[in-house]
Amino acid sequence: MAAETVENLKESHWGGGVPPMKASYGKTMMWYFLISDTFTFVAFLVSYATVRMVNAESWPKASKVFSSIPIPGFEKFHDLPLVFVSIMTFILIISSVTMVRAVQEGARMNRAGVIKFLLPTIGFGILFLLCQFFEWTHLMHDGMTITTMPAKFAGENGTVAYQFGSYFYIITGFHGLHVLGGVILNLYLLLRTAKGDFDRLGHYEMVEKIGLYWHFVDLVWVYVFLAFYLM
Amino acid sequence: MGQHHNETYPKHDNHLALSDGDYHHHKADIWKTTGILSFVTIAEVIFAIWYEKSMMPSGAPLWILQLVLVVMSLLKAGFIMAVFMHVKHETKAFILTILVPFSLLIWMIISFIYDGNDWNGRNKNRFGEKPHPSVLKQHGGIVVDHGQHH
Repeated sequence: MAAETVENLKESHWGGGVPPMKASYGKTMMWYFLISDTFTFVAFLVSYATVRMVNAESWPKASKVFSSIPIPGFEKFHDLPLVFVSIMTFILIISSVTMVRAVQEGARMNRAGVIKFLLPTIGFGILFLLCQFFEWTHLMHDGMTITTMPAKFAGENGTVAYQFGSYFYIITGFHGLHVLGGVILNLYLLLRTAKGDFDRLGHYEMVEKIGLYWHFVDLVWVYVFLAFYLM
Repeated sequence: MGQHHNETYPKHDNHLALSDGDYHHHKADIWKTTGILSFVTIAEVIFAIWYEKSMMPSGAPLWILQLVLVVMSLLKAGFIMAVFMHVKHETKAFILTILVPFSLLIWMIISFIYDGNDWNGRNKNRFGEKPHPSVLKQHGGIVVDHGQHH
């Protein structure tokens, strides 16, 4: 029994002779991880929804908080609600598209193709993180921090729920951490692809597994975008 | 070792043995999905701004906006999972393995939102009024006094 290591299980189709549900061990485990991560994010967002409902009258309006282009040199463009975050959303969608193309090229054992599509994926990931950096800097400059909210973001009863900042920085920060993790994983993937490791291994399943993670980060953003910016 | 390793990855797995036909078909699927995701995102932003600026001042309820946005976001999530995460090409059992655990979230969402709403309702005095902002200040709210509460 001691010899039944994870490696042995993988080698023998999970130990059962056939791959369960036609899915490889690694892919199934990645999905299990993503399911657990979904629960973490949903717990965050449900907590946010609860606190927001308790403080409905003093909750800041998203169109007021997120109404400028926070890139240095573009500050003169204000009263543009949601424009910047829409651009951030597009960056993430496009990075998902290039990632799925890399996965496809991997399935075709096309090393050059994988590299060609991993590079823009990493680039868009870094671009997204930069956007988040600029946005956070701008909001902190406005006086919105993890514990304070500026009076100018007051809700309809003239007060402002201080929890807005806490939830915003924790949830977008946790998502940003996932993006950073994805960029690091993609760099590792790029390195191993360039070295030809997967050609030697005989399959590009690693691209598929990390691809799943990357799409998940995009998926979570759909709901972060919904909760903080749209509603 | 290498030979043996190949056998652990089944040939009927869509993503590891992509035929020419499947390759082009999947590629077309990706571009179509990209278009849908972009369109829905733009529609969400335009709808949210339009509803808030043009409908809410004349008394349209916020929940209609929220409901429409949740449905549109579910649509986006569905497309990302089905096409980008290629869930639609998995076996039925695998799809169920992924989706069924999420049903645990349904009651979680309902109960917490009910709770938040209930607390909001209790945050009133015996005349059914909300507390004066100065009371809220003691609990961390920052007051902008426009004088209408006196």
